Formats: sequence, structure tokens, C-alpha cells
Amino acid sequence: MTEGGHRLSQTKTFIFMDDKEDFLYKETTEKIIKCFYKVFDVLGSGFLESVYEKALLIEMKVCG
Amino acid sequence: MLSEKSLIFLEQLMKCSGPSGFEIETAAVFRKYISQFTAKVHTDVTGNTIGILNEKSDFKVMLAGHYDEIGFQVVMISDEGLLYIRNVGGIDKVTVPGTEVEILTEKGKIHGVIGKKPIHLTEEKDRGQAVEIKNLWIDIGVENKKEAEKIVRIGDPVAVKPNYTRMGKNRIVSKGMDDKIGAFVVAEILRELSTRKINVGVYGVGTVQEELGLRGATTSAFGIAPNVGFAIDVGFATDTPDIEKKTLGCISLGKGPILSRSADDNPVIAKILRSTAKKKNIKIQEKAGYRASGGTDTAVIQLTRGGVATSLVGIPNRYMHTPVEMCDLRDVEGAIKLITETIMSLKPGQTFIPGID
Ligand SMILES: [Zn+2]
Repeated sequence: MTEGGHRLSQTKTFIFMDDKEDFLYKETTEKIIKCFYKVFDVLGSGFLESVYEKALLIEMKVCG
Repeated sequence: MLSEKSLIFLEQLMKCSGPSGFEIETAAVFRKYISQFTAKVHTDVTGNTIGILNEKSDFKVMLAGHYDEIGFQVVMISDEGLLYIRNVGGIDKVTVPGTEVEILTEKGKIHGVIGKKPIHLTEEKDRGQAVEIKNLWIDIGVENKKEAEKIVRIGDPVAVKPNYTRMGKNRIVSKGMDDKIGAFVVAEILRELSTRKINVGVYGVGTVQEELGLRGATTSAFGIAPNVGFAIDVGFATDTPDIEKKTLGCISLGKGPILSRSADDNPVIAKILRSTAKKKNIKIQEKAGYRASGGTDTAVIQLTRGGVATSLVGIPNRYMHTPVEMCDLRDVEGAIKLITETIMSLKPGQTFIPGID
């Protein structure tokens, strides 16, 4: 029986940011990702890319 | 009852060393045994060995038992001639120090021991702590790097030294029981079916690289394109202290193979297995699966092409992923009988659509 961490062939793996890691423009990056998730939560999937682009722009203006 | 011949094969199989990706020795023993009673045997490019019965039937049943085992690989040789290693598969690092191993070199097997600093010299705060595998090494009895390099090469696979033993009345213990015992069940089903008249095609596979993410079953199932698939793998016995029955159910050694009901198990096949067990008077144990999906070859066979009707048949196992994995021969016999009789009851053209059976 295969042990937990090795289910590569079964799971589509999402890459999460590691909280502990420091990187350049950390705050800005986090802000952008937050905005992206907000937009994605509202719209879901299936729209054209340009729709997401416009929505993300609006959201980013709102969030500063 | 398993014949003397079968028990000899079981012992031979358990004494092979084949960590995931390096299953050559185990594959050869498996291949030689099943060649005696299957019309066609073939080993594919990833190393899976497939024994075929009644190839002319379009209705195909696949059996999978993974013959890879967890182990290590040599990553660096120190100036002192010690070998640093990395794990292959989910090794429990607590069980590693003090293990006797064999290194599978080009020229043959070399004996080694996994050393550790004596407890006397271990600082108070580190006592009782598991040492990371990267901080352990294999000692092969040489005096320096030059001497070691004459014997071992970087990348050489390492397995726990064979230790197969029969214990008590029905118990067997060995390294790599997970899942050479499943490959053994596959071979014995092929042997039994070869003496009967079957009306479906049967493809018994010793699969590779299960411990790295169900890799061999993925390619072999695609190649075979089965209608039905059975994976035979070890399952947690919960009859030892400190294993939570409330999350894993009550599973004991010797009380029969485990039939699981998770998303990986086709409900129609599950029903057939249960009624076969009842009709043929085979003891079974039932569980829900320790998670909703995944963990065994069943998961990837099921998702092959347009979908396959799969089921996992578990052999209760204690001390999984340690050098002393224990099973009970009665459960092994039960699994062989249950799957054999279930295959006998299948009819070509039968469908397994949930709710429309
Ligand atoms: Zn395993």
C-alpha cells in the first residue's frame, strides 16, 4: 500500500505558498493572490480570459 | 490449503529484493513461476509482468499485485567508505537504524548494516528521537571510499535483507510482504484458473512502482484495457494495541480477506464478491476504506480509459512498512479462493453499471 505523500498519479497537485518562506514583494504578491481568489470565488470558471482580466483590475483598484 | 510447491514459491518471492523501480529479481521469479501454467507471459517496458489465460476472449479481467517493495538508494559515498542513502517509498524512519540490508550492485548483492551513533553518546535531548534517513548510512565493511567505489555505484538500489519466516500455526513474516503477498495471490489465482475451463480472459499482473504512486498499474491497465480489475494489496490489521478501531474498523489476522467499500470499489463487483463469499463459505472482513479513495492500484485501474469495474481485496497485515510485515496464510488462501470463484461466475458481456445491474 502506497504511503500518503506519493499519490502523484492520482491527485492534481496545487502549489501553495509556504508561509514561512520569505521572498521579494511578498506583500504585493499576497494582495494579488487575494484579489484573484475573490474574483474567482464570484465568477467561478468558464468565462473568457478577458472577463477575468477586467474583473481583476476592478478588484485590485478596490483593494488598493 | 496451499500446496508445498506454492509455499516454496512464496518463500522464493519473499526472499527477492526489488525496491520500486528496480524489481528485476522479483519479476524474474514471478515470471518463471507463472510461465509453468499460463499460455503467454510478457514483461512490459516499465517492468510489469503479465500472465495471460484465454487470450481470445474480449472480456478481460485484470489482477494486480505489486511486486515492488520499499527500500533505499545510494546517493553518496563518504571518504570513510560509508554509503549515504535516500528512501524509495514511504519508509518509517523509526525502523531504519540497526537494519541489515543488501545492496543490489551490478556484480551481485552486498551485505550492509545501517549504523547509528550508540545511545551512550547520544545527547539527552536527542534520545528516543527518530534519526532522519539522510543522517544514517550503510556500512559495508570497507576501509575507505576507494575500496567502496570498487563495489558500489551511486544509484545502486538497497533493500532490507530477506528474513521470511513462518511463525506459529499460520503466520508468515517478511520484509516486503507489502505487496509481494499480493503478487503471490495473483500467481496462485492464475495457477488455479489454468486447471479450469474459463469463459473470460484473465490477465494476472505483477505490477511495479506502486509505492511511488501506483505507477506500474497505470501503464499495465492501459495496455490491457480490462473490463474488470482486482487489486490485491495488504490492508491494516487493527488487532494490535494503539491502532484506532474507531477510524479503521475491526480487522484481524486470520479472519479472512478484507473487502473494502470506497469510491475505488465498483458496487456491482462488491456485491458479486460478497455473494460469492457467502455461497462458497469463505470468511471475509469488511471495511469502508481508510480514506474515501486511493492508496492502492485499484484507484488507477478504475480510472483507465473509459473506466473499469474494480475492487480491492485486502490481506490483513501488521507492522506495514517495517522490516517485519506479518500476514496470515488463511487470509491468503481465502483471497485466492474468493477471487478465483468470483472470476468463474463472471460472464462475457456482463455489465457493472451502478444502479443498473
Ligand atoms: Zn506499501
